[in-house]
Amino acid sequence: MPFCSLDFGLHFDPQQVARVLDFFATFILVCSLLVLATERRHVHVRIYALQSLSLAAVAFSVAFFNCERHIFIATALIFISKVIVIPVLLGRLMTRLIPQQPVKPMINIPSSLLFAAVLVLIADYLTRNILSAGHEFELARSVLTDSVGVVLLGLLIMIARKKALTQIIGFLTMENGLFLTGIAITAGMPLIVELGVLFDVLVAAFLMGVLLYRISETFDSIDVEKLTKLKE
Amino acid sequence: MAQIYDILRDGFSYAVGTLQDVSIFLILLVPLLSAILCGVIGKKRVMERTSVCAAFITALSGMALVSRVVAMPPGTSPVPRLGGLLYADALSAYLVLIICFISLMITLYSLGYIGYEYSIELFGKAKLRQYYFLLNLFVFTMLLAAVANNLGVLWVAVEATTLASAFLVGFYNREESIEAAWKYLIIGSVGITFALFGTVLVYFSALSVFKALGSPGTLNWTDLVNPSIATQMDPHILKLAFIFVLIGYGTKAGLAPMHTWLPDAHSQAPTPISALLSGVLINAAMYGILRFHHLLAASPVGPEFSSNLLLFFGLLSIAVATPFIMVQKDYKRLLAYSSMKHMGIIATGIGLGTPLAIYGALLHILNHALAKAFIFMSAGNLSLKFKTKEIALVKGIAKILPMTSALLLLGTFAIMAVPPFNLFVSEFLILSASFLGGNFLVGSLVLLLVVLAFAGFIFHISHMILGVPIKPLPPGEVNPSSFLPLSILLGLVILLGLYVPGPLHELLQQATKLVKP
Repeated sequence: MPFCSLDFGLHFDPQQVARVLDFFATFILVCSLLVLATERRHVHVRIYALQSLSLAAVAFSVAFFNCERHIFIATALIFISKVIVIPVLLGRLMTRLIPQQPVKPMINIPSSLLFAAVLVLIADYLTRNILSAGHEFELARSVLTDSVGVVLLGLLIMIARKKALTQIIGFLTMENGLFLTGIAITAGMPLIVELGVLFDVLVAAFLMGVLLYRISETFDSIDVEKLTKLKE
Repeated sequence: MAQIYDILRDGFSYAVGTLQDVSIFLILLVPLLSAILCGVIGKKRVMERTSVCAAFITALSGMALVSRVVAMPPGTSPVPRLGGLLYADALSAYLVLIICFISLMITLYSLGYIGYEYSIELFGKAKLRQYYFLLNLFVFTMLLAAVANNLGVLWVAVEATTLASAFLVGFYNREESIEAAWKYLIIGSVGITFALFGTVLVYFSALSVFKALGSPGTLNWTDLVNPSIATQMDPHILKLAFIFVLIGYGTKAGLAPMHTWLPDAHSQAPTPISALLSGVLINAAMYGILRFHHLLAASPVGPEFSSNLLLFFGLLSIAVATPFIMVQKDYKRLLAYSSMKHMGIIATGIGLGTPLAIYGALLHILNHALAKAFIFMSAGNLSLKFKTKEIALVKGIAKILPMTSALLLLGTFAIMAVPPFNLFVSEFLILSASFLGGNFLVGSLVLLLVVLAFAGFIFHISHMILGVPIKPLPPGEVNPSSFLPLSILLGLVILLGLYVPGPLHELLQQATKLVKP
């Protein structure tokens, strides 16, 4: 069955392909910034779905342009789990949580965006060494910087917003950053690893959702600030 | 007559050989099947019997695996199984041995402990089913981590340990336990994300080497450490990768400053699970670090970089844990911080890098697992009776639970590495290795902190054992069936303090070479 570019007899300029990948990768980074720039949690879930969609687009492009056929399977699984299942689960969870107040940030929006800018610069600094060493990159070079940035921004989301739901979004953002690294700089990990990682992320998101529900039942709030019983 | 004897002997050796061959699959399949059975059936007696039988068969298979690995002629390497996904060498066999044995003891202990709490209706039948299902699953994930050859599968297994045990930590559904489970799940998952990033970076640096040799890329550890691959990998990327891996798996191993989940999870989980977390899980995470340590040592980076990092984080963990041991108010947290201290000692031993120190550190892993399971079980019997974890509310155990108080005292001496108990031997090996290697500062620092922790520990425990009970409780043990695993563990704790049996010594020597080539 014809699947990828070579099957159709198409040849693309690698630089053009890299540009396509760059576009989607940058969009993934922008999505993490958007999460930091808003306080409404159902918007967070939608942005996450959008981010996952462009991750799926990256995976599809790698599979299509580079004829890495096993990535097609990964693309389908990313689409099903990250674009459909997890956002739907989180959306249903939100309707069952009681108060619908906006997420009051630990760090306010302007300063968290400032921190985000610093983190992106740090990501650039961290990856510059690797990039300047002149490695043969499978695909796009600057995707590495984007993905390290996404991982760091995910961490910032978890710290800046002390709501349990937003912490889940932060964790999922970090995972997306990792997937981006795995797919774009190495043209996909071995399939069994991709499958295992996806499965783990899905289960982790599910368990976090269940636990979040229990927190809201027990504490009447999903404010992580209230989880302070355990101290020295 | 002689013929029958020959046939029997041949049959026996054939059976042993077959068992050895399939042991690597058995140790994975049996706990998994047992978990499914427990999840499906849900009758108390059936679940208990299934779990004990499964733990016993797994332990036997683990022994078979160890005997296969030890008996291998020197120079030959074990054959990877399942397309290179699974593999067992001396280091993984050693970890398998620890996991199998401790989980057998824990399963035996669970019968009495969880059975008692069920009988006083602390939780219902659904919870009981959840407990045995997750317990078996938890053991399965740890064993998978031990025999994984593919570094990606290793990561999947270590992340799965968090997922399987998170609801065991939050088992009692109280405010504190939910908080502990949330922290454990979030910190564990985020931490381990960094380890995946490190793994991806390793794959990235190996991929170009594989491409240059014209072979497809793989994450199989056996292929990566192959000199033709390892020596060609980019040192900059490997260094960055190791830092990420150390943060990731170090979070689960309880190394400071990523340890914050550890005392909470250990104090809130049911005691058998605390013992399993403390005695086995954190070792499995340390094992992940050791695999990457070996990889770095075989690459152009050399062993110094990762050794120094391990040494630093090891010493930091001991230094952070000691003050918390001294001022602790909760006795399960006390034991948790002691685990952190011992992980610090193990990391220090690996970081020192001489064969003697590595041997001592590996022996310390086993010794700590045995002693910590022992003292956690004794403390569990205590908490069943007193229904509190606060040190200040427990007094006069000697009058109410004479047997448990004796065991707790023995456990205290064992965990504080007093001779003739086993931890003394391994701690002594590590310390003497540090002095022999000229690391006087490291040796004296460890010695000082260990003595401080000892003083704090014995202070707390003696206050609990002696004195007049605050509330008049009727004397008498509530969990008598726990004395079977407790006496087995006590026997081993003393035995290993007197000498290291030959086969174990052989296994340790082979494993030492695998930590640092």
